[in-house]
Amino acid sequence: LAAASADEEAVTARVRADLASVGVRAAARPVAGLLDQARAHVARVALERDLGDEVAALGLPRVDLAALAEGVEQGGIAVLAGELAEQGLR
Amino acid sequence: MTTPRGRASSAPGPVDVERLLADPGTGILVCCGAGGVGKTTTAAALALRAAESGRRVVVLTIDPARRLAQSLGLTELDNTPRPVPGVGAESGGSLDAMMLDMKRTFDEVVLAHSTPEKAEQILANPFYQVVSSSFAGTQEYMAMEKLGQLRAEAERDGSWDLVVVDTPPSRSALDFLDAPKRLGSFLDGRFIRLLMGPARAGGRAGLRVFSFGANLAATTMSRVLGTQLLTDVQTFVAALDTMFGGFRERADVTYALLQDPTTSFVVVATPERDAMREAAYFVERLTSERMPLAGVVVNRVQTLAAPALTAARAAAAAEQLDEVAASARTERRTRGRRASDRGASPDVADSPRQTAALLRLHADLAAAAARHEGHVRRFAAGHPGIPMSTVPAAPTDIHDLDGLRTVAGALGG
Repeated sequence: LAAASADEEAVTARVRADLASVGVRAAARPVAGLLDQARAHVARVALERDLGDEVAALGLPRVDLAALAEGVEQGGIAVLAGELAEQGLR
Repeated sequence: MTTPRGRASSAPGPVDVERLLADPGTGILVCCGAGGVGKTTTAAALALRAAESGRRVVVLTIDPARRLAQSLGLTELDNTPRPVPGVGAESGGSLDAMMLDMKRTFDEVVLAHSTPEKAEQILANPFYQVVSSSFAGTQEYMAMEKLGQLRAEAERDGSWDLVVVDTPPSRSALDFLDAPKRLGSFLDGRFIRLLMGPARAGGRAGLRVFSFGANLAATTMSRVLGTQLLTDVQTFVAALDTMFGGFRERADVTYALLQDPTTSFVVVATPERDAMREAAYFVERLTSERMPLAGVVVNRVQTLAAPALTAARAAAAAEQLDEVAASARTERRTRGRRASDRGASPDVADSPRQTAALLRLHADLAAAAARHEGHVRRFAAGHPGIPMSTVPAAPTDIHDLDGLRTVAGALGG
């Protein structure tokens, strides 16, 4: 996705062509929107990675838990507990 | 202002931040909500906006994220409001920011309410040192206390005309409101009475029987807890007891301040079930306590840059493109490593796969956006007449003044 920030026009044209090939008619604006979303996502992931590096620099054992879109109710806690156990936390 | 805040017409729309901040009758803004919903950021954004529209503002933050604190010039936790450089010069406003130091605030209260010898005795007490830095509710109480102090200072020397407060990252948004009562009932509670028994009742004939019982309890407790700790606790409580009136009185004054028409509450939430439920409790509580509610701010609401494309459509198209990409790969393999193929840019060959990734990301975001919108709608339906603003989720954290300005802009709808 980092390539998405390369050559704006060429990328837009390619994405539009790809979309058209599967029957999605998209004007330039929604395509620009998709690319904006991708850029935001890249920024987010980069931030997470940087902060992850800071944590790693502490040299402590670390486990990662996935974000729970629906919150901790309806089994969310059990999901997290399962992840902890899978990542070796006993 | 013609209509009371918080009781707008049937379709209230977003919080009228502009009017709220411009109204000289708004003297205190309290941002409250569950932990981790962006109270500090909201408080800072409102304070900045107010300062840039000409108010002289002090913002009390509690435990701000490091980078946000730095952008406000808060490099140390010293309980002193300091000017945020370069804010409000054009409008004639100003912004001071401070970080709450819970322990120091507690110390100040002790110093203000007892004789110097007694204060020294209390401050040196090990039990006090624990209570003042970690007792449940202390932070909430001290935030209240600090609010009272800032307000008094503002009135005394006219340094500020608006105090914006962030509230502690409690488990529950209600803790802030309950703090004064909780501290009161702690000091008034049976446990404390029991501890106080020997220390206070000694020598009073009429209380001998009670004293005997209390002594027995104390003896038992000292066996469990250790004599030194119990002595510390008793000394602490006896000392605190003498300032009890002061504490309770001040808590009452601060609580009354919260009911004052110059105070407005901003309830902060994120579009998740737990946070929205806390917000609902808080809104109901504010209403029943007759505390003025400016409105609800929902932070981190997912917005879409390509809203016309539905999640389902995007997901389906992504799947189709994946098939295209897969068959293109197969074709390339069967055609072998012909020289002419090497010239093709890997970027172009990978295009369908990348476009599929864009679509899949969009599908995820669209699902989140729909979920968020559902939470916001349900809340609005359940609480008609309450102004509500949504702040779009930012890709990265808000950590500078420009970020705060963007948030403030979104708050105004």
